[in-house]
Amino acid sequence: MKKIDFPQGTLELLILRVLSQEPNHGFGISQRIHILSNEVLTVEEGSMYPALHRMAQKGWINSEWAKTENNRRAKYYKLTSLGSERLGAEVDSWETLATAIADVLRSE
Amino acid sequence: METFHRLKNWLVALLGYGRRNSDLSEEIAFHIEMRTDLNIEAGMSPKDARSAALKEFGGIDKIKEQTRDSWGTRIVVDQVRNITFGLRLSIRYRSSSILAVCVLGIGIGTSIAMYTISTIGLDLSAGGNLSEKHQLLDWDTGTRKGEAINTQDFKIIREEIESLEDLVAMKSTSALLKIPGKRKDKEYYKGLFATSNLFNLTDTAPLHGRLFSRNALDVASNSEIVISYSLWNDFFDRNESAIGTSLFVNDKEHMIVGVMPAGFAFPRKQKFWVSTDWQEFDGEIPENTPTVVVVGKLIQNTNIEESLAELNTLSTNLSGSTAKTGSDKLNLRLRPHKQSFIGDKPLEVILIFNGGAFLVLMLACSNVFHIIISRTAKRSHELAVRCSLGARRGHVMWQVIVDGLTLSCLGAILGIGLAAIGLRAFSQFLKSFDRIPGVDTFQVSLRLEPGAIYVAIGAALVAGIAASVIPAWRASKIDAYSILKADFNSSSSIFVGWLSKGIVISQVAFSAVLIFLSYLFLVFIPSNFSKTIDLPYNQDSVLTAPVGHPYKKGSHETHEFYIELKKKLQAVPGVRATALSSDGPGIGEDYIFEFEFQGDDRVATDQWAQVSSESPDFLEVYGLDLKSGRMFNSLDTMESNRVCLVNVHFVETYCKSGDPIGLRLRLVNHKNKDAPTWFSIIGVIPNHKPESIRIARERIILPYTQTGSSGATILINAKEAGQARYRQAIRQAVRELVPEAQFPAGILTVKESFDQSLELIRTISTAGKLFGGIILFMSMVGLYSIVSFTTEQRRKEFGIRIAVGATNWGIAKTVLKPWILMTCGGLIIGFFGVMFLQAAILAYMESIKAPTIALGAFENVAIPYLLVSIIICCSSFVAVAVPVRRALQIPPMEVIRID
Repeated sequence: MKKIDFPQGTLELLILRVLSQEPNHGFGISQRIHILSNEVLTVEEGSMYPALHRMAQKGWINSEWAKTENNRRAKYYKLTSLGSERLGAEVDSWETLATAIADVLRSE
Repeated sequence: METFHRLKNWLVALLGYGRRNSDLSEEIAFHIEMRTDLNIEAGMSPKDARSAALKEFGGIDKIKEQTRDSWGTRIVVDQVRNITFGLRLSIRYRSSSILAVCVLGIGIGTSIAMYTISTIGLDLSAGGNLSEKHQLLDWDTGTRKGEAINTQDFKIIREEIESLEDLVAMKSTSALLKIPGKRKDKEYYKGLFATSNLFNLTDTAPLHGRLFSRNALDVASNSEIVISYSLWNDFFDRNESAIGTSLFVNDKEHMIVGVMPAGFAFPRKQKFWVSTDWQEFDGEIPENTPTVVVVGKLIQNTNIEESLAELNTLSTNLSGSTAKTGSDKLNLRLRPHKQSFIGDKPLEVILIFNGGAFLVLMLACSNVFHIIISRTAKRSHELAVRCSLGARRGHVMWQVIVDGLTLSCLGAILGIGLAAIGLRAFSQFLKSFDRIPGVDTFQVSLRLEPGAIYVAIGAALVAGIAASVIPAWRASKIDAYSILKADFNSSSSIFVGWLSKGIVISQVAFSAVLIFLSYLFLVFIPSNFSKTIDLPYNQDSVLTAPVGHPYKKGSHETHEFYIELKKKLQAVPGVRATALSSDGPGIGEDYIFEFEFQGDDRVATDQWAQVSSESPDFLEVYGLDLKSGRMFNSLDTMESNRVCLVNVHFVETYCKSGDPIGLRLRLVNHKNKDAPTWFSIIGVIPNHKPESIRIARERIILPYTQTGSSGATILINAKEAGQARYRQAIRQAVRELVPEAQFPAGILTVKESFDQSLELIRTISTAGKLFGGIILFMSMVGLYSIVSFTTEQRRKEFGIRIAVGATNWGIAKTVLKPWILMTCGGLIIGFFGVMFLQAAILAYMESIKAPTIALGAFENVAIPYLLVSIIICCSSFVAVAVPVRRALQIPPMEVIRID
């Protein structure tokens, strides 16, 4: 499958979406985005952490240390109620934008 | 909500910065491990798998930095790093740091100490609205310091006085406050017990509630309290329900009826006001009754004299009067309340203090500037490395400014400590004085107020930035390539140029002017003022009583008054002599006249003398004898030829050619030159009055029988003339002859009078000595630091010169030659500064008509400046010699090896 670059400003939306399903650690989130996008989207791994910490700083997500399946210590992030609200707003905004772009592209 | 989360998380990130940092490392390590495992599963070797994982992740340090940026704590963390860096630098350059911190400590300490003293000087009525009609009422004790009235007398006066209205009684207090059911504060608050009409003095409306209520008898209900805005904030969180609640003042309950607006603290720094009429003391004996400050307002169409006459009639019935207590209080007196609040001179004192403080701070800045520029020069290699590694210009500048700010912060800490100690010492010193205008030295407690701490912080910031901004700018412009390439001579080459030389020269000039000023403060001014004390008679044995308004009589009436007065006073046991003079004994009088001798045709004679009129027996009071000629006698009247006496100083100055007896002179009246009132000199008296720079030493004495008197000072000589009975005798004798006579300046011995007159001068002169000493010290430190550090910079050069065979003297010459040139340059510029200062002083002296003796002292500045030059040369020699000697003692190879 051909990999494409991340559209600007969508990383936070995707992280929120992934975390809305279940809490996950940074590596897990990047893997999950890759799988859910049918391996089209690949997160630049290093960019994940500044984004996660920025979102935590805003109160959209919070974190705690826990054990993984293979008994390693990892920092798990989960969505807060503020993050849920933000996800809703971001999704609405994205859908409006995507529809608008699609409309333009489909126009004759 | 999001803002709240951001703030909370920012604080958490800041407080747990270290832990969060290690968490981030662990989190990234976990990520790399997981990726590595995945790569191994995909068939890579462990080594390749890890390499690939690291490559895919990107630069770990860069990502960590980006993540830390997202915490928003960078600005604080960077500043902490800067401070740590600044402290490391201070430790690295220990000696220069100690010097800089000491200099700044003294500069900042002096500034805030002077600021505190000024603040107390300006501690005026906060919120008061005193009109010229408001008069302060107290007992006249014969000195300027009156005695307060007790509450029983206050009530009698309030009932009976007709010329004053709205009498307010006040008593300041410090009390513990407590609210039922709430915390008990351990702090004492300054407050005021006062009659219920207190707020008539202020014209300030309450912020909430009301002011004191007043019943028909004008007697307070004894339970109302009005609180300040700050108390309302501290105790009630600005809740309006405070009105009507109870507040215990020293365990006595009062009801809060009002809150005053912010800033209201009448009369000084009061935080609460309790309404009272002191009923609990009504039946008490006077000794157990509190004394109060009483202020009243003159009623319409009444003047002070009328009011005083009424008060005098009243005073005999009061419990505090002499008749009842036997104390030295005969009369009640009135003084303008506004004047008693502020005084006449404090603003002048404050200006002197603050100007001095600014000067010391600037000097400190200038010294620290040199220290920082030298330190920066030493760091040029380090700064060049930073530049070549990509440091921005702003970053390099900030690094140097941080150095200055670290030193100034340390200096501020030292300065606050020094100021606290200094103020405590100054407090003790002040207590040795009776009074400084505007400041009650017995009640003033000089301690550092929060405002002074803010001044210290402000001064530290100003000093730190001012001293480091130019070195920082120079540092940011360094040529990193050439410095790194030619490390050998780079360390000093950056800064030794026109700027450094110019600064050294200006510093020397500045120091020269300041040391000259300190010479004035240390030597000249105190010695000129202190001459006033040296008199040829016992100052304790002469009592002086200036009789002021309404005693205004012509010469004939004055003579008759004096004859009667003399009879009465000489009947008092112990009185050895009496006299009448138009002149007091102190140094405050200023009756200087231009005069001319008969036959002198000059338009302007420029001959000045102090003129007074005296009774014929005035020398007896001082126990002195006539030097030559004759004394006044009963034949010297308005109808006879006018005569005068002159003193020895007069003869020495104006009659150098021969005997003055028989010479005729007259006082110059430029408006009416045709009024030929010639006085024949009939005798010469010894110098019996004090001297000072503001008063002519030369005196002309006229017989009081030939001059119209506009007031008189009664003089008596007695053993221990300061005893209360002599003062009472004078008052009684004068009142019997002129019932309405007043003694506005009190009845004082000559010594007491001098002490009062000299209070301000002594204070200024003591402050001047202290200040001059500080200036001298700072200038020396400044000179030492410049030479020391510039010489230090050349140590490597010295090492190489010695290694190639230069002698010690040859090395010393290379330092001494430019330094001599710079010192001389500075001294020449400084001389021009001193000349300018001299011109300014002379212009001032001219404007106050200062006598020749005072002008002469300022006219010749050559010798003092020579002294200043010697001091500067000596100190600069020490400043050059010490570091050069130190450099020469180090083995050349060791010096060369030092990087």
